[in-house]
Amino acid sequence: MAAETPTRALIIGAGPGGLTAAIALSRVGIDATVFERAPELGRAPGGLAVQSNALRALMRLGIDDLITRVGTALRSTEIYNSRGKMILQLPVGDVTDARGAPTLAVSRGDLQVALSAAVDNGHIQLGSECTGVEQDADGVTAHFADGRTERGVVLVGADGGRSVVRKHVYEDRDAPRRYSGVTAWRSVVNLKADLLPVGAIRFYYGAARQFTLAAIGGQRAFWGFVNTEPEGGKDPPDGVGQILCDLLKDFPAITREVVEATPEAGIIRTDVYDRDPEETWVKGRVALLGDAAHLTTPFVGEGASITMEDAVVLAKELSLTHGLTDQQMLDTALESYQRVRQPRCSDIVLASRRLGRIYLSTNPVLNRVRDAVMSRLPVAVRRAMIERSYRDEV
Amino acid sequence: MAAETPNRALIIGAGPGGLTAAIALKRVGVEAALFERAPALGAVGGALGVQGNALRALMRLGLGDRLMGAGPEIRAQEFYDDSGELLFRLPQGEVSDAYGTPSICVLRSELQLALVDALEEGVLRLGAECTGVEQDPDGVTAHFADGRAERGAVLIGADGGRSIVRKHVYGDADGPMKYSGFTTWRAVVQLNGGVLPEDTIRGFLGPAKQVVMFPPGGDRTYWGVLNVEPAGGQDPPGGVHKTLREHVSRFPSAIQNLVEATPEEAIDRTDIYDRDPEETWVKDRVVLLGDAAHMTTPFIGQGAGISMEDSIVLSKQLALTDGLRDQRMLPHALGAYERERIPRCSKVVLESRRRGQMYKWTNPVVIAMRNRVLRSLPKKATYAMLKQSVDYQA
Repeated sequence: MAAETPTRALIIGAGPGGLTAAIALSRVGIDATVFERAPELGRAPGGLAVQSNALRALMRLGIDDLITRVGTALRSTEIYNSRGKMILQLPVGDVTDARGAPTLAVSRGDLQVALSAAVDNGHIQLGSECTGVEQDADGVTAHFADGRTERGVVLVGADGGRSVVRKHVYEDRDAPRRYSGVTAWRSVVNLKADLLPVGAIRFYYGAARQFTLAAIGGQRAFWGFVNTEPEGGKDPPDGVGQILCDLLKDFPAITREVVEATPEAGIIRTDVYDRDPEETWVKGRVALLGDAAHLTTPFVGEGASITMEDAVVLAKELSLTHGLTDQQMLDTALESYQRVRQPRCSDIVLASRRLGRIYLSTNPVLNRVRDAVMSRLPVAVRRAMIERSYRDEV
Repeated sequence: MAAETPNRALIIGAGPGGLTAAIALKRVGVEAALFERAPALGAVGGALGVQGNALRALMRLGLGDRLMGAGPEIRAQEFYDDSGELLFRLPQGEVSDAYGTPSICVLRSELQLALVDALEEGVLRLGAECTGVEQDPDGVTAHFADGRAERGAVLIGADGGRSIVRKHVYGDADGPMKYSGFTTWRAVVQLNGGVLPEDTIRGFLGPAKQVVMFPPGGDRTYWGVLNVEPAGGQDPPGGVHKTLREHVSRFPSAIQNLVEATPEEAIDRTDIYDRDPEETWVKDRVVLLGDAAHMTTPFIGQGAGISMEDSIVLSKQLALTDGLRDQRMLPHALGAYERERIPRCSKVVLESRRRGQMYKWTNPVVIAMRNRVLRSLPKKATYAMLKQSVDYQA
């Protein structure tokens, strides 16, 4: 088998991290192929923020323009109480102007298509559901649901929060995911013009629930609704729109308008989890990246962004393997990747967990205090809140 | 001229930093040409310690074994007063064991040859004295004393403390070198054992004087006598031993014998300088590395080590330029390099400067107090003195 192992990287998962890794690895002279379970690209649900720090990482790959074209630059993050009163405005645009890279709101599908356009031709294989990973002294083998196997010298698990690759890395020792206490419904919706200002992402906070809304260009918006629910709940086949509108009855009308404008089939329900930070993301020739390594709740809005940072750092470290031809260097490269990234990602995961507790608190007294404090924050503090996660540079 | 600029890096200076850069750049797919003023290799004098952090950096290039064969492992640094009484001992071996990488002592010339051995044929050009640098939007030109000019996409100034490239980067704004107050006489002498254990570096502290002894292997001893005096002094021909006899008269007889046994023509006299930390090492396509960027005194033995770290980090950052073909990425890569390295190197320069200050004292009361403190340093403190610079992964 030794002689037949191709000198290439296998990447499992065509999310923001996996695709960015493919682009970055190619740039440092490493042959990399992405294997994605979904049969086509562009169907990933909902939207996300490509934060300024992530766009700066993408600049290192020369693909920031590509992503800027499909996103909407955010000038402002606005937090409202459920009655529609703004209690906090974060001057995102002012901060990002100084950094030369905006924060973008983008649909997951558009981001996926834009990133895939920068991957070398023929290096994304769709309909490839990884079912398991094996490694030996000479290489690593990925097994797929259709019985196919693929072989490489290193494998990157970018297959998300329910990662199959993760099972290979931690086996029985893997701790369970932590249920955050909330369930999320998400979608992208076509809107009549002018329903929403462009350039702002809005968060509406009620007791134990939160609604997120951002215009993403082309008269579309992504929205997400987070509600405190028992784990594992399911929606009935019909009427989810009505259920959500009932939950939103005390919220400003715009939240219900966007839900009503969304076809029910396009609304995705997921329980929100994170994981405690791990000490290692690497086992031999296999490395985890993105949610597979550091699943986070969405409250800081950095989940996809730190994943793309991961990919750029991984590529820089692997560049010293001489296009993977010097595999003695693989261990050090993967270890360095993890050492650089682990503190940064753990910081985000834990910050998001803390914010979730604050935002979704059900204690009315604490919530009044929270809102009173947030509505009085001086601009320097508000700027610092944004800069905190932008500070890192890959 | 634009179309003719080769996509390559020009490196000025074949010291530890320049050589490591040439090897590392090749590894990440960047073509490099290395220019050295000296007409022949191996003519550099003296010895140095390659501590764990530097050896780990070289391991990223697959050079670990080659280097470990170039000199003995150092397990301790011992510091004595001028009467030969032990003041403190730095537990180099324990730090090495904790980080999994040894510290070694090598002759400068042998380090140079070991690194040259890892270069590809034709990369190094000897007898090439850089006299100036020019750049334009399409590339950078290095001019040489013989009238030749060489062109590349980026130029790395690894040409030491009196760097020519540095003049291009800072122009008239460059601050002066700072004289440390110490002049040093150094030599390597071949003796038949007995002077120093092969795993120990020794320092002897006298009033405004210091003597160091290194064991670069093969029955050789490298020694240095440091004396506080005005910069720019010179020894009359035939007068070196007379000067040194005075400087070492109060030190143990082994040191006096060592100096006597060394022929005058083998002894090299230099004034020791450093520079205040800079805020930038980059001017467009030109970047500084090693002493050219952060000249340091030798008191913590990290000068060459951090130069080699520089080279690894610079190469990883330049890896993302796709072998210098995507030059839009050049400012990002060079910016990221200096952002990562300036804090690290500034810390080493300033720590070394502080250490040197402590050796300059002449007041016997102050010295007695210093020595009492040094003698009672807890193990934790001596461990920390090494750890603070060894705890780094390039």
